[in-house]
Amino acid sequence: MSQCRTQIRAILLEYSKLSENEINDEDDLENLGIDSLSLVEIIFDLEEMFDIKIPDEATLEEMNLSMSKVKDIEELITTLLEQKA
Amino acid sequence: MGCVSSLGMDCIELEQALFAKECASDPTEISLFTSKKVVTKVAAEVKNYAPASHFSALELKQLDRYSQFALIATAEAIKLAKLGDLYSFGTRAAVVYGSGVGGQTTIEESYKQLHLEGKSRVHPFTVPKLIPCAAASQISMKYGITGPAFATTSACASAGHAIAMAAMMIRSNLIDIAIVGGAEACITEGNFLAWEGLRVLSPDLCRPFSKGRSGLIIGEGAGTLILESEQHCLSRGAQGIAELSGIGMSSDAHNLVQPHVNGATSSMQACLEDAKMSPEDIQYINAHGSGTKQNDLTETQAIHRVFGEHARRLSVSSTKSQHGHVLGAGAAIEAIATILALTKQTLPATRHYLGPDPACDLDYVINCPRPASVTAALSNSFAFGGLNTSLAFNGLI
Repeated sequence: MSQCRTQIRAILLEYSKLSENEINDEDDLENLGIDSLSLVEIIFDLEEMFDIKIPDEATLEEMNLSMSKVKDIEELITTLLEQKA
Repeated sequence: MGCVSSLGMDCIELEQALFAKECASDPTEISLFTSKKVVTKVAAEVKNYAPASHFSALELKQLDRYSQFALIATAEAIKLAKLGDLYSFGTRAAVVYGSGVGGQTTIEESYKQLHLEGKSRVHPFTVPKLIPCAAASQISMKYGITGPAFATTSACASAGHAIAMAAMMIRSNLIDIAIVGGAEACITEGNFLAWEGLRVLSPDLCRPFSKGRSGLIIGEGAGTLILESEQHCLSRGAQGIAELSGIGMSSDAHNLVQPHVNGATSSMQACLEDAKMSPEDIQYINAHGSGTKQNDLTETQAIHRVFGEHARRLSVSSTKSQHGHVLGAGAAIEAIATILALTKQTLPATRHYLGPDPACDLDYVINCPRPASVTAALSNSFAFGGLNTSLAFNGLI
């Protein structure tokens, strides 16, 4: 597991009701027990962790990205880090 | 009733300190911030407070220090009022909770991150934590209060207005029960620098009505009371501690910081009128008594005006000399002190009194609590901005 992926999972775990081995790439955040309020915190934590700016929902849609599933977040962060580099 | 203050984490500790023969707790050196700019060295801080022993890490992310105090004081009040898990608050219940500034700690921490630490963003909960209605919201969510819920903010009278608003809603049959009070936690560098600009902070102790008084000591904490109609109280088989028999509110319409005798006078007069009491019915006044030269003088003059000859027969004290000036929570904590005076038949003292100021010539309870036969008492809160409340309480037990 890449370091980036590990860091993302650590953040999600902080807000999820599930344990580490119960979280899968295909899981919706809702299924992890993450509500909209927690998602706001997760966005902040991700921005702090990776020193990036996560665009608003409309912009994410235009970029064909989302934050619905675990794998979506991993893809989003990877894309943003590539853009930053 | 529930209370968090520099005198302790609950009403028992508050009572023990207020009614101890000797002053049990003086303001201590400020530990909540360090500063080369702030000259003031002391504050009435809540001591030995460990947030993690009251709230989870996730809860703390959403709670400014002032909301934490509000929830702790409210939990105690709910417990003492025997409103257990089986009690359903619902739409006939309200929460009206005051604060002078709201989440001052959150405000200053976010500025520090932005301007000193070079951060480009602040935590997304900054706004929901700092708004002065955050405590009211947190209480409503925790206890399922789905009736009216809002904050009152009128500086040092905030909790007085909260209590008055809830009383009016109960009288008008909008609600049966209300959680009322106030919370404040603003022992912060920026806030202290601002207060120092007003030149009203004491360098050592708060000595209301005393000669040589040098100003106020900023405190922090929360006070919560459960206000309910007599019928509601009886129907759930509960025993009330005291009756809120009158409320008075007024505005000086004069000056942002200088109190005016007319406003204080009309607040107390309105309270007596509302309570259908004559001046002679009152034996004790828990004064606003901030310890500033001007307030204590004006309040003494106002008491003379309202009570006439009886002014010399009633007793007056300011418990701010012990728990400090808790600003938006002050009226609630002092309402609790007033109720304790009724239940204990003992008047809490104005501590640190050095001797009489000829301009402050009432019967102050000086330095040591005084046993007294007291059936009715007033609690005054006269805030910056000239916003005043007076509350009258009758003893029930």
